[in-house]
Amino acid sequence: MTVKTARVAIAGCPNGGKTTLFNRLTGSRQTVGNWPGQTVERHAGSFTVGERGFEAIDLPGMYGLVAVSAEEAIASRYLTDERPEVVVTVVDSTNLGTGLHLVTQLAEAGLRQVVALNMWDVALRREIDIDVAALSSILGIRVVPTVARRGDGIDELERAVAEAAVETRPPPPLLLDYGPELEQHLDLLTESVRGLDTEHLGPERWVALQLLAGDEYMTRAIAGVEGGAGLADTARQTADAVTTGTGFGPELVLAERRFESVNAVADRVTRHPGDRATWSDRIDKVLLNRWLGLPVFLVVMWIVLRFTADVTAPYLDWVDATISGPVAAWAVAMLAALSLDGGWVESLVVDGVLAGVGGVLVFVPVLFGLYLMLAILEDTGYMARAAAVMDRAMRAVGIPGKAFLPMMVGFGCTVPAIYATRSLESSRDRLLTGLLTPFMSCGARLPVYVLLTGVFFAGSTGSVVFGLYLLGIAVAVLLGLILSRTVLRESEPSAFVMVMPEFRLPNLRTVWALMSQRTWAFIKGAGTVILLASMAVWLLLSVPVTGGGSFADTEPEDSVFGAVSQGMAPIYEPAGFGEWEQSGALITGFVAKEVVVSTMAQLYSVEQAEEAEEPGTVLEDLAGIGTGFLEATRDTFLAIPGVIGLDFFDLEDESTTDLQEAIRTSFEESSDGHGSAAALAFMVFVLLYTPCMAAVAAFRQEFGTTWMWVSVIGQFAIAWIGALVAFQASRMIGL
Amino acid sequence: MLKEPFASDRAPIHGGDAMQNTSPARTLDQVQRGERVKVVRVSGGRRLVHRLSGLGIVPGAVLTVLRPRGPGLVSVNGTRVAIGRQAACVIEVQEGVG
Repeated sequence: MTVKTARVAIAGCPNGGKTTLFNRLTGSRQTVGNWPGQTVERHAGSFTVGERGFEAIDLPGMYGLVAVSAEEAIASRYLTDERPEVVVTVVDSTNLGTGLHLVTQLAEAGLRQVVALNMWDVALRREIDIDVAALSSILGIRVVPTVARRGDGIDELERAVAEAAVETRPPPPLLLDYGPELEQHLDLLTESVRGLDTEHLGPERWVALQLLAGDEYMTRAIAGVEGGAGLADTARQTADAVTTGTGFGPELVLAERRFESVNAVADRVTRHPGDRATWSDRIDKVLLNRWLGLPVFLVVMWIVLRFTADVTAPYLDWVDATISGPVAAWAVAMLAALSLDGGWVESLVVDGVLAGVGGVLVFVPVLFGLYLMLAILEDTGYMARAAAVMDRAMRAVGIPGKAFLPMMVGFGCTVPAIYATRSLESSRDRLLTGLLTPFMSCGARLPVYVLLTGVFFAGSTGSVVFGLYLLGIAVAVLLGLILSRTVLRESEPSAFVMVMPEFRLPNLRTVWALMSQRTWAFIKGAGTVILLASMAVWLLLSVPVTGGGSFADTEPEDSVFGAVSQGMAPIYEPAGFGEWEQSGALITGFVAKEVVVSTMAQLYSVEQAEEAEEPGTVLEDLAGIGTGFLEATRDTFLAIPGVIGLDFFDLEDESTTDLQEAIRTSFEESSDGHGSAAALAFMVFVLLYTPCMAAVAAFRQEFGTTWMWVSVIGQFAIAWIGALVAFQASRMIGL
Repeated sequence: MLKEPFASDRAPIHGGDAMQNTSPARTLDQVQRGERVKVVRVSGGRRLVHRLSGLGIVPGAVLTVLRPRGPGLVSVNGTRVAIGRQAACVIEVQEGVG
């Protein structure tokens, strides 16, 4: 076949079913990468129509081609630079106006489009009758009704794309009349553009429109064209003239005119029974109610957290048992077969690599649970309501209600939470949310609390752990108040404007996509760093500095790691945990909270109970893993009714182990007999300091190196002060 | 990624004598529940104007106010949009849409 693969970009407003449609078109033939220079994921895939192959690209949601947010910029930049052969513009059939507004802009840009009138079923249900043929002929664009969730209309859409792709002549750009005053300015600008070499940027009139609207990307692009430097200034002056003449900024004037035209088209092709209250509106009367909204929100969040904690716990144990049991045994057996057992290689594999892999995988069930719940809430439309309910309260702290989602994600893992700040509109909101999110106690910190409360607060473990979660939130609130009144005083959180999508039943595909995306962000982001760091810690523990041991056969105390820990220890003395084992655990905790507990076990030189299992045959092991999984599933289902119960964090008190004994002794010693106070201070420190290296890396990627240091050092200072206050205060009350 | 300066969303677009209205204009937060109103003016910062205009909340748009405040909820072209007080204050509307 000599036919070139055509590129098909899937564009559309947020919440229009764009990604669902993309998934329907490409099925499993997808690749996930990053947009150039961006951390935003770029989903591409392929599909064929007859003999012809197509490459599909899922663009971030956009309302127009003028970009303000980072995600919009990606979409509009792709369309401007790459000019794909076909753009499938996904339009929500129940909201023709907003969708056609986007179609209009893409048509002005001279892009070849096929319009997918998605959510056709919802339109039918609401008795909205759209004359597809009439719409198609007015627009001069192929229009196909689709129901992406069910897969209806996808074949027709593919055919329309294939037909559009073989057209050789570029579509004539849409010429909209913007009225005499604006046209006069536009003509002058267009004339100036025509004098330059701008063919790669699109039709001249469109370039002029973008310049007039103040699109940053086009302004930069034109300045880069030979002789174009002055044009950007001219455009700015024209924009000022329009503002003075009409009283509005040009972007608003252009939008006004476009909507006027678009609404006229929509009126001509649509018959509908009028704007009636839907059942979704009735639900909103409760969910957005001034008095009921917040209690409902709290109950929903309670269920989400309970589900995550209880329902996923059996799987967590199963993963842990599988890795430290059969998998470790296999690895050792395999090394033995290669005559590599007993030496440093075995030590590296078991204590370095497997410990790291285990530390990562053990959290996958928790994250899956949390992100499953959040994905369901997002897909049903509740998340938008939650943001609306929380907006006023969160605004007081300096962040908009939309920041609530990244914060929730942060209770699972900070890494995807930091990426989730991208959905916020301004860089100020993103930064502040990014600074506060790490104080949401992530899943990896929980085992530390469980271990220490088990030793020092047996009987009231649940309330101590819950108190720590609340403390994290309180610190975030306080810090938000301080930052928004000092450093960020000059700016306010973006005003709250958010579409409340119609409530609907969750769609399996969409939920799965959302959930796996976030979990993968953890595995790829956190996983790699944690694995590498786990190996680095192993190396530091293996190199002796004193004591005369040899490589990989030295007491932790005599290793490089031991020396560093001893050097750091005095810093923590005022907070009651100045023993080198404690500071050592905090060092690995900087790498990843997952490994704090195992480091403690290692440094206190106690073997954890579950290791050294009888090596069975591979078949027996596999059977064991299988039954373990089934048991975990059974336990999960048994745990579901408990979600409604009130015993938050029902942590069982296990019998005292050697490790617990060692910890008790150590904390009593480091604090002159105030072991409980020191343990509390230690947990407060774990709660408040840097979540992990992966979170730092994610933060740097999103906000730059300077802010990364501000965040790391700030968190350390807050944690230190917090621990000090916790220690001294609880000593005073006699702990 | 943090390149743009922190911009305030407060700087109003100046001007405004261009619109002559017979009935007095109110801002969206002062409208009663269930009213149908027409947008006559949107001030506010660039980012906010951009967000609103993407959703079709531009001069000339007809809004049905489902809830005026706390947060406000309007229907525009059949879509429900929640609007916080800050944003509602910069949307000037005029009554009398049938």
